[in-house]
Amino acid sequence: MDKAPQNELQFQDRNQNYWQLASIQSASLGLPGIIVGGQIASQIGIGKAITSVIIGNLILWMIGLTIISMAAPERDNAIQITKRYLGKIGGVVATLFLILAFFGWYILQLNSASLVIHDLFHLENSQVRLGAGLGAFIALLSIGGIRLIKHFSVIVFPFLFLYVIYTSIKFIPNLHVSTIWDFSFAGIIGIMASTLAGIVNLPTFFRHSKSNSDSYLALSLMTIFIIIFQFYSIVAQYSDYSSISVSNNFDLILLTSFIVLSLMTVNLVNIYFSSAGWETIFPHRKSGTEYVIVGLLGTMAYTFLQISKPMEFLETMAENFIGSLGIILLLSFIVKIVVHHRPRPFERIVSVGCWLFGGIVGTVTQVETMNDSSYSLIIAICSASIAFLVVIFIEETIWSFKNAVLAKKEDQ
Amino acid sequence: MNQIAKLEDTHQSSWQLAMIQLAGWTSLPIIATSILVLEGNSLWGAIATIVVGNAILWFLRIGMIAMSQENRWSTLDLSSAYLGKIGSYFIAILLLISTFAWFIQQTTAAGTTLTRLITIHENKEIDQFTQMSVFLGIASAFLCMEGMVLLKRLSVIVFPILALAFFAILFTLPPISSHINDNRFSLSGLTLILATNLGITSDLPTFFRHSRSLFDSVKAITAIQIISLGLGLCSLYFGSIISRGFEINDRIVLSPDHEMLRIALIVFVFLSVITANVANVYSASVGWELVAPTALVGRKEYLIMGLGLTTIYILVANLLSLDYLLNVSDGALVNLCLVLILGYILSLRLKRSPTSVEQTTYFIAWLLASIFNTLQFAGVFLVEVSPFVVSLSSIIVVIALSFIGMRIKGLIK
Repeated sequence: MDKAPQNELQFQDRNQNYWQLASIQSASLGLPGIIVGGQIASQIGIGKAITSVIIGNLILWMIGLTIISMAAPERDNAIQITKRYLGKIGGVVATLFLILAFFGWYILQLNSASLVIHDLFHLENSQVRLGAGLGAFIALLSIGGIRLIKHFSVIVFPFLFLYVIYTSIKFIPNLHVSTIWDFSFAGIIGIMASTLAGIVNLPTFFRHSKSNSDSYLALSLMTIFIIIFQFYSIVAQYSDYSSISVSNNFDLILLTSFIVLSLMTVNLVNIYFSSAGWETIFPHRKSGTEYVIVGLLGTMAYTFLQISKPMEFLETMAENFIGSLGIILLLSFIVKIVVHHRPRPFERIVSVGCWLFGGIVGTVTQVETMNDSSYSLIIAICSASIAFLVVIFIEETIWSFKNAVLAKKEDQ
Repeated sequence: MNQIAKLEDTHQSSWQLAMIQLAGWTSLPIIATSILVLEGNSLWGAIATIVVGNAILWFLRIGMIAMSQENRWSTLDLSSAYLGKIGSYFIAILLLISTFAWFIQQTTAAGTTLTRLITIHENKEIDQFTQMSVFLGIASAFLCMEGMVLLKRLSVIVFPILALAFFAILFTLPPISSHINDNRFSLSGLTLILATNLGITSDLPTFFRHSRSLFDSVKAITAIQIISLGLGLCSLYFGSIISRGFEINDRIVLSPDHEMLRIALIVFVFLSVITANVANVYSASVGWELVAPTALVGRKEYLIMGLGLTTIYILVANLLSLDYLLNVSDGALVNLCLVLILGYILSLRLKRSPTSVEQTTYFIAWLLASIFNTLQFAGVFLVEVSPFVVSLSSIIVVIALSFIGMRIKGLIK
């Protein structure tokens, strides 16, 4: 990444250091990404939840490391890297799912933050107004693009981190750990499911990195900080949004600031994430105005759709496809490193086919399990992986059979 | 101050100039001013008042345009020339406050009206007013993005639709007899018409600096005045659907017999509020350019202002009343218009630009009149007298005293 790629780089700010990159990603976990630790702890126990958070995030770190490595040489964004490995059709389909997922994430973040603030201040019938107001304000801020996100995150992250430490220290004496320290597959998958789509999108941010070493250090720091943030919700025993409460006005101000700043960062990041998709549709128009339009569309979607059933379904579906895309990219990269001994003429078709297969199986599972997002994501990922492995197995076996048996017979 | 070099789009025709004003300011509350005139007047008296009022407005507006045409000055440039540098900062802030109050008040009124007029069957817990407000606010913000360029296109498209909707409303109104009353013939509503329209008049230079020529500007002003006169006279028949506070009378409009009226009203209210908001943001942009940091000025300023106002609007709509702020800012704009016109007449007579002493005089006259109005609206001072009369009197007195003083000291001949 240290040398400039051949293609002209059309985005700004290519000198972000590890701290800036890590601050952006860590500050943008959002309330749903933080609370997932507490939610899992309430289902499988604190001990298993802690191991799930650690193992789940380490697996995500591995996936992130691979995806960043894939994107680094050409400073690709998430869609460009998909195009490179899955071809043009793959890029177009990924763009559509990324945009669809953006609306889901934007709505989810606004909904969760406005719901908690609404309950904390005992407001009446003002949740939509609050969420829409915050959404419009975030859209306004997004005019500053990546530079504003960088400066904002670097300023905001220390506050978020210190708040988490302060609150965790307060809650630890109340914690009664009488649980078995064990591993939980469901817990690990639950943790992975909460941020896997974000990991797949990392290249869109890491293309701004100063160097490879900055990227890798940022990824490690980000993983550590995310683990700490998710521990916080376990320690605070936040099993759902209604369990978030405070005992005094000082804590109320701190918690509200934490939620609002966290929401602002995560949705600024969401807008920028989706820009990878918009850049594919409108390749010649890259300006702050586009981010504002995206943010306003997200706010409109929140106001009119909120967390309606169809929206929830579409969001889970998009996450199934993005999750299986991540796995296929990972496997394609590994195969590309390993398989040098034979040509792979159908490489992109195979990858797209397996990816879509995984996504479709996940969506069918989603319908059958009444929108169980974690389970359908597991099925999507597993189906895509198995399909890919089966195809590679067949490809490799046929090629080796041709060379080892048929070619030998011809020689004889 | 001379902005010809950096000002975009300086070739607008009389038609485009007129469309921007008519589409930008033709809203239900402004049209319904005629109803207020009729309340204290006979029908013929109201008609005469509207005709005379529009004739005076035409004359004053020609004066405003003549002042700014040569150098293509905006309202703020004019303020700087006549009220001095400090005065221009006051006016910049006034323009921003006025836009803020109008944007919120007008969009809230439209949101309330449209929520009543449009029936959406959804969960009762969903606040439809908020949904409508967000939609109106965001639609306005989208259309503010390109400043004058988009405003011009929008107005040219929207005004014919607004006019059609207006006549559809007029022809589908239920028959009424309330507009014929026993009041005596008088011109008592003249100050009301002037007070309602002079605030807008002070904004005209900002829009007319884009004119192709003075002749186009005069044609546009004449067209605006004739069409406004027609709309004002027709609006006398709006009494049956507009109740006090300029709210739509639900009982009549929502009855199944008046479906066409309901649709025409929806179109009219929606388009008028959107265009008015875009025009408002553009008029305030000159103020923003003076007071905002350089980084926030330029092509993005319209977007920043539009979206900033939208965000505030979403959060405060229907929660706090801005009537007082609206009255005060409107009063201050009327005063600005009066001061500028008097200043222009005096400059023509003296055959030179205002000196710093004269600028200070005009600024004090404007400030004093605005303070008097503010106290009047707060109900602590001269409550019984029309704010317009108080403004005009105080401005004339201050300017007269200052000029007498200057003549005594030999500063003017």
